[in-house]
Amino acid sequence: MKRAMIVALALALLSAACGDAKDPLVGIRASTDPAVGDGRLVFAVSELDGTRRGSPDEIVTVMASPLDEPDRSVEAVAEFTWIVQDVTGLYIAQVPFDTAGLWQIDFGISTGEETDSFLIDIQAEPLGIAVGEKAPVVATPTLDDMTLPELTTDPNPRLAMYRLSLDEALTNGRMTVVVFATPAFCTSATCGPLLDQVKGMADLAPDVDFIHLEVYQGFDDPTFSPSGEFLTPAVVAFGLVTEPWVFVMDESGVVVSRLDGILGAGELERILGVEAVGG
Amino acid sequence: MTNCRSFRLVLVVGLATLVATACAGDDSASEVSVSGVVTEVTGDLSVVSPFVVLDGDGDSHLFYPEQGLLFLGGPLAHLRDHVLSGERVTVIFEETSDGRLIAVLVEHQDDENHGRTG
Repeated sequence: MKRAMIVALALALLSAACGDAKDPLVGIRASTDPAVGDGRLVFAVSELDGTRRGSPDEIVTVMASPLDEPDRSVEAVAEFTWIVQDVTGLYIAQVPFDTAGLWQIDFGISTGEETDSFLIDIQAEPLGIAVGEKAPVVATPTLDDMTLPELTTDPNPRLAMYRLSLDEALTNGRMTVVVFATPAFCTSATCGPLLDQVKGMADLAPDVDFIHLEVYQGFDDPTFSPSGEFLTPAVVAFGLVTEPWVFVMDESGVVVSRLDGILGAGELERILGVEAVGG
Repeated sequence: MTNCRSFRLVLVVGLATLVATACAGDDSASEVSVSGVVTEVTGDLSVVSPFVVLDGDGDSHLFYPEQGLLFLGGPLAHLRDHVLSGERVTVIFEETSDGRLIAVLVEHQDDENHGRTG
């Protein structure tokens, strides 16, 4: 009887100890088309059951090492950005990936919790247009060619973003911001806000041309399906494999930034050299 | 005697029907679902190849989408939005004899059930 009680007590203690042990936090890579020279790493911090973590108060630092050179590492502080205010967000870190191949990303969080590393495959060159390359000079439909509902699936479109063809914008000596997004097929809280953020920037940067381009075309075609057959020529020319994307071109049409998925707080403002709202 | 034979025949047919019904029930039960967050989507804007869902128990599941599978009427590529947002999805799938999980339906998770159901 006494032995049974000791065993039961030991089991109870073991169970309590296990209950206190928390699983490490995991990093979920959200960057697509990562490549050498493009150091924008977007990732989520999550509990093992998928519950999202992160806030501006939870500071995350990143240490990245090429998998075949574990002794070499670079560090960066990640910036947190809400996707849905006070609900969910992501971290963005600028990591100078200088060699192609698998990189191990270790991260620490200011709460002191344990974390698991994750891997990211850095390509020698991106599938899409790279920073430093000339943007493809593609003619895109404008309000001169089509009606607004034919041009955009944005329920609250900004007319000025449909007045200029991309080929005109890239050759008129002004900076250009192009956002590729398809609000009609937006199934989550992410793609709508990205387009809205870019629209909001237009007032702050009157010397920059802003263009919204849909990802698919032929919505009126009875055979339409959101497939490769209906991708717009601009999406194909930019080599996009995911969306949404924001590309920033300088006055000579060269890509200076490519921003995948989300915009960080003040990120586009810094690229365009304009003052952030409220900043 | 004839009555007895008839009774036996009815009994056999009845049992066979019961077995057949039970087997049909097994087939529908083989369609199972997983709810969780999308952690990886491969492919491009035209075609999505495998995608990974992390369930509430911390287990990752690799799914191969059924040909032409859409996500809420749109391209399956938009699952990637859910990698960004962390919104949970439910995947209904069938398991092939070689252990591949074929996703036949993907939708927003509409309940608090985060595990695998059968």
